[in-house]
Amino acid sequence: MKKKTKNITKFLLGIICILFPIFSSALEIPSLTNFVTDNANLLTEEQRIEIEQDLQNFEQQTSDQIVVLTVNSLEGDTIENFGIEVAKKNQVGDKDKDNGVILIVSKEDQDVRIEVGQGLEEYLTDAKSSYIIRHSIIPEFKQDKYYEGIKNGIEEIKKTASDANYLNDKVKEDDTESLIYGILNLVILVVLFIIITRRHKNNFLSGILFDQMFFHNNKGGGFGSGGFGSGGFHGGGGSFGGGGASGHW
Amino acid sequence: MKPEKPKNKKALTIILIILGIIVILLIMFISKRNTLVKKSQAVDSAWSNVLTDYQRRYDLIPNLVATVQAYAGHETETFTQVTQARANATSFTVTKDVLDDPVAFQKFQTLQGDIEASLSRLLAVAENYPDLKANETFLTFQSQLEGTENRIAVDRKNFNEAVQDYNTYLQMFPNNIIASISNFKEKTYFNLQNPEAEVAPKVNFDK
Repeated sequence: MKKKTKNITKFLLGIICILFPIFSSALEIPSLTNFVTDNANLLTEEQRIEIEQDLQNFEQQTSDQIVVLTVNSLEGDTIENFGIEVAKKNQVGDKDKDNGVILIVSKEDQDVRIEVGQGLEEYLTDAKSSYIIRHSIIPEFKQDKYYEGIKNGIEEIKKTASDANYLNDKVKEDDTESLIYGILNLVILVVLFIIITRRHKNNFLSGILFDQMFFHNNKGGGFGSGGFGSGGFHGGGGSFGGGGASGHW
Repeated sequence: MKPEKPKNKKALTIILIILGIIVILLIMFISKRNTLVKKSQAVDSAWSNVLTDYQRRYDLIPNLVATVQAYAGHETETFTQVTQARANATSFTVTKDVLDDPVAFQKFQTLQGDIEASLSRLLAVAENYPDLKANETFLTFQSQLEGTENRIAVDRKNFNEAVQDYNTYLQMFPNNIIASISNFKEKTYFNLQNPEAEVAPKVNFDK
């Protein structure tokens, strides 16, 4: 009897997994709300707070967002795959500068990765990230000194990221273009609307036009908000392209 | 003269309504067509990212081969394979039309798959030389290669997402009519199932 229920549960779970591929992915991608998310409990409370304050100060000084995420296990996923998913979900870094860095540690897999935002790739290169992992992080991790490894790694990342300058901020032409287009549409429609409603009080037609107006008006909007909260961490819309390096200890 | 006026007024109203509908349709057409252009450009830009990644890999190969060669000079076959695969791929001219030509696109993927396969053999060879594995220059090139492979994987996925977004929009009504009038065609996906292309030479010498 018990076996049967188990089988049925398995069967149902299987169906759910087939129907909803999202559920079948082994590891949930965490939402980061703090500069340090220590899901694997590698740090003491004091150590975590210390690193968090350090990273928050660094963000205030440079606008670079460096965050730390530790997990118990990747549950079969690769750290590269997991890393880019975390990066995409949390959008660490400023929207225009793409200056986010995520240090990911998986305890059981003994994997560590530095995921680098596109704006910092030029400075914190793959080779440099790999060098930091091999020389500053892994030697400590091998002796189970997680705090020291993370701390050293962050120091090196900070040093390298500080060299970055942001003279060549991305110009978002697309936004302006669609805005102009939206306004133009709006002007044409308003003129038409006024002409028609003034000459002929045709409620039906003006109703349609009014809808159209609203529809196009909405298209012009959509401004993102910046990520400069106090206390906790909030991603600012930075994008990642797979830059960085991984290591194993 | 007087009784004709309301008739005129009625005709004018009808003309204005028709004109209004035409204007709405025209605006709809332009706006949908613009969206198609935008989504098509998103595919192009995702594609150019993929090409940049592949170029980056081409640039890395000579240095990597030279470094391994310094330690494992007699593994000539492996080096020839890598160099040949790279030469084959670079001699294949990638035009914008590749995206609209499934045969050429497949050929392009096969050539890149050959490079990936030959590189994993090269790194497997490197595994046999402890001195090489400890060499900082080699480790640098290796990390650059790994980074590049990861970018390729990410950008290929992004490309497929952009293509999916474009194709889905294109197939919807009435966009499909607008698309066929304006000569927009469906685009091909990257074949991520291709085992040679999928398995990136992921190496971890510490294991």
